[in-house]
Amino acid sequence: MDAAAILARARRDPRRGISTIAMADLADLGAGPLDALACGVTPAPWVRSAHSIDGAAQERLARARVAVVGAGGLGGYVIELLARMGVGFLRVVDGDAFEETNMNRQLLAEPATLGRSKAQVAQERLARIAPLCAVEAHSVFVDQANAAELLGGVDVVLDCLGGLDSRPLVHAACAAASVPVVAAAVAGWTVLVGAELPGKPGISLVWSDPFASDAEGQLGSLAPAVAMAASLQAAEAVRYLTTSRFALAGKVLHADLSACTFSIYHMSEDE
Amino acid sequence: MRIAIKCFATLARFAPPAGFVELPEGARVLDLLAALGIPENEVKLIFRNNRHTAVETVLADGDEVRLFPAVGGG
Repeated sequence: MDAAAILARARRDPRRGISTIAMADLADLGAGPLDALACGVTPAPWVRSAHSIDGAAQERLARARVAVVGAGGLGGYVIELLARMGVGFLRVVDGDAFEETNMNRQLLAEPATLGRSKAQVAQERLARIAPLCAVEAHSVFVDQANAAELLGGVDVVLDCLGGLDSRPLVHAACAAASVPVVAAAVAGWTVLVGAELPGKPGISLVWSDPFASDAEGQLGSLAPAVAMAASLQAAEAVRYLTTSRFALAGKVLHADLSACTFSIYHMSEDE
Repeated sequence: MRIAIKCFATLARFAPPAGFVELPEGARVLDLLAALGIPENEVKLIFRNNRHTAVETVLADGDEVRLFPAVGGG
């Protein structure tokens, strides 16, 4: 890409002290966000991120490949947040379709999307809000046969599933593929979020017994708890993608939104 | 000995109003569950002083125990 052409279209934002370029100008030049970042120019959609996510970090996000399993309550928000942060590639996996009972908490559940594939609706949303993000939608549930393909070849997996059933399979497949996972779960006002590195104990201990009784069955799933859990997941994923470090590896952050209390627990029994 | 205890989500109904339980020396997490009337199969996560532990763990005076059921909603 011709750097001079990008720099000729770039504008200096004197208040923020950075050079920016409009999406239309990038498209006009046949250039992508990475071409602009390589010239020290911030694509305009990311200007308000630039003072906290510097050029090198934004470039890492633009090159990042992320799989999001579940595009319902957690996944709807996680996809939205990662796309707006500038993650370059999102693989969205969900075999489910929207139904009315999703509408209390799922960002993408609305009358017009009822009965439609969650993965497909997510892809359409991303095309509208984040044209710089490449999206792969898979309207399937993760199973033994497809797990390696759907969860491999990415930098991090976001476990945004609901229920206990398929979580152990997803975490085992990620460990086998040496892909770290950021996961969350909600019941009522209770939020649990954690990250897990391959082969190390972490939040998946919560789901080690698929026959346990899920508290969500009694307490339901509330929108502020779901959105907060998703926000913590997205922040943790961005931290990992930009610094190669988690804050919650081998730990679980617990938020009790009924009392507004927060704690972090260590999942290993050793001191 | 005095054990501080918090119970979350569906287990909140078992939490003692005072926030602690008096147990004899040598008591294990299992004994704590029995004292509070919590069925063991309803407890999925046990934290002792902010660290994951098992039902057989022997408790010490001043320990803080937190209990969770399985939580899977999304």
